[in-house]
Amino acid sequence: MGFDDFVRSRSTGLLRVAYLLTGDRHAAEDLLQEVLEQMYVRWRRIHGAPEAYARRALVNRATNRWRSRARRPETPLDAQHEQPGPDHGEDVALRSAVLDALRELPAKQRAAVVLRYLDDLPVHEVAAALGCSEGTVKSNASRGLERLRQALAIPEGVER
Amino acid sequence: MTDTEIRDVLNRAAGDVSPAPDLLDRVRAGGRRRVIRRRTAIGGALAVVAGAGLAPLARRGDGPLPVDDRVRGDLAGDLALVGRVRKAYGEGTRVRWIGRTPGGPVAAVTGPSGMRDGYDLQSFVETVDGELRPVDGATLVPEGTVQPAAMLAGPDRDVLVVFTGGSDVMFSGEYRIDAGGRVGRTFEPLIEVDGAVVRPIPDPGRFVPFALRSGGSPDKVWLANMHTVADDGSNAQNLMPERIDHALPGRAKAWADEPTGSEKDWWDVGAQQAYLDPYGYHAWTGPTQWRLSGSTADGRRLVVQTLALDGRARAFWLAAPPGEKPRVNYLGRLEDGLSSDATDGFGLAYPILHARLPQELGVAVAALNCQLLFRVRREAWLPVAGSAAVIPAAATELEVRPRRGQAVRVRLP
Repeated sequence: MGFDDFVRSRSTGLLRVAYLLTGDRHAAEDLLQEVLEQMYVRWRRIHGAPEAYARRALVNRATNRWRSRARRPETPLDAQHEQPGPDHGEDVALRSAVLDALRELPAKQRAAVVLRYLDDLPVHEVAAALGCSEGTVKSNASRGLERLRQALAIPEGVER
Repeated sequence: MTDTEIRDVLNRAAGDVSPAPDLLDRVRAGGRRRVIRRRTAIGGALAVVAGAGLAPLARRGDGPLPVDDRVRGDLAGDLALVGRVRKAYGEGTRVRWIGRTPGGPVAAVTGPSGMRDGYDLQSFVETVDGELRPVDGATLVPEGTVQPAAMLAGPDRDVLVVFTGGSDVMFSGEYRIDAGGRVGRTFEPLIEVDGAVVRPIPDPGRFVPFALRSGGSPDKVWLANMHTVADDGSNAQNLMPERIDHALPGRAKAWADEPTGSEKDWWDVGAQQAYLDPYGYHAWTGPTQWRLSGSTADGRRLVVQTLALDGRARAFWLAAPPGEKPRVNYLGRLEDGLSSDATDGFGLAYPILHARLPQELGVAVAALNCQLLFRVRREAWLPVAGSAAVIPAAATELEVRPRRGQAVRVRLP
């Protein structure tokens, strides 16, 4: 698959991952573009598994973004975090609740949950994306899932 | 909630996000800029249009020079060729210079930008396999003006064509790193012939060693097709140098008053022109660029920094009390014993920085996404918080554990 085909066929899926990793649509778009630019430069070196490479780069960069935000209190996450408008319906309320819940997770747990349950990846592929062992993925996903369940237990205005 | 419900919730939350229609164009343009990013880009004078789809800025000020409609160059009288150049570059093209080169006829042209009123695109048309072709990329100039620009012509890209645009242009064949880690160059004036200079150069290989400097404003000379040298695929073997600013433990007191303005630049070697190459052309490759900031045992501010240039990196350290201007001290090139290469379990190579500082200040160590431990002789291993640190000067050995793959031990001389 050529680079152009890869971007055309996989950018929507990757953007969805980036969105849940960052909690912000614009940040997700920036993040995806950065990662794809990086891949464009290295395309000949990325043999056979561009999507795995993209996931790993997304996770790393998303983690760094959250870290740098933590170092810069003048740009708190809340200010950039998308909030539902009054008339966007239940999906927007659900989105807000999920993003809030994901935001409360440690970065590794968040990434494990998103890749495992949004992207439906097997454990070994999540491990490759996170650069950790499969056991770590399982524990991160399990803990993240538990916290997510707790956080989403009573989401106001959300109908499941 | 069941796992299925969690999947459903996440899918609904991710919902309807979709990439911008022009994502691919932006990625390709941005990727190109990443590969061939001139060191002087910050505050730079030229804005490059790599393909269509960008809306760059061109600095005015004194700006590019107004130009008449005369076609210059030794092929200016070949009206048929001039006509073919116009046709090759598109409607509204003005040929500013056209001449013979060892790589075939080359022309400097301007044409309507089509994207911003009052601005033209300036570029080149070259000869490839006997056909006239516009080079990939253009620079935006105020309408009716030109600026100095250059391109690498010929199948081996070993012919430098400099369109002076009426400015004095200086040439430097190569750069050197002096004993202080600064970039040194010697410039000589180029003698133009009817608007341009055509000069054979050594095969540039993967990197462009020369630099061009204009006597006008802007003083940078745009090199139109550097990517044909630097982006031939071989650069993909290198990793882009990511810059990581890392705060060391105990930093807070010495840096309580964070420097601002020019004082901030005192503490950032990457902001000091002498250590860069403002008029050169460099591939944006090399090992991770670290900037570790902390404090010494006696309360001075301390910075250890690496700067990448053409795939290599230099290391520096600075120390001074708050408010005082630090001296930039050069530790050397990373390949000269300040760094080791290792490969993680994903098969990716990664560099390990291990630069011993003088005055018993310690050893600066760093390896991206790795756990670091050190020990003194045969004593117990002590972990380091984070991927970078300045460990005690007594440390004799470093252990680096990547997230996947075997740990690597490095003796610290």
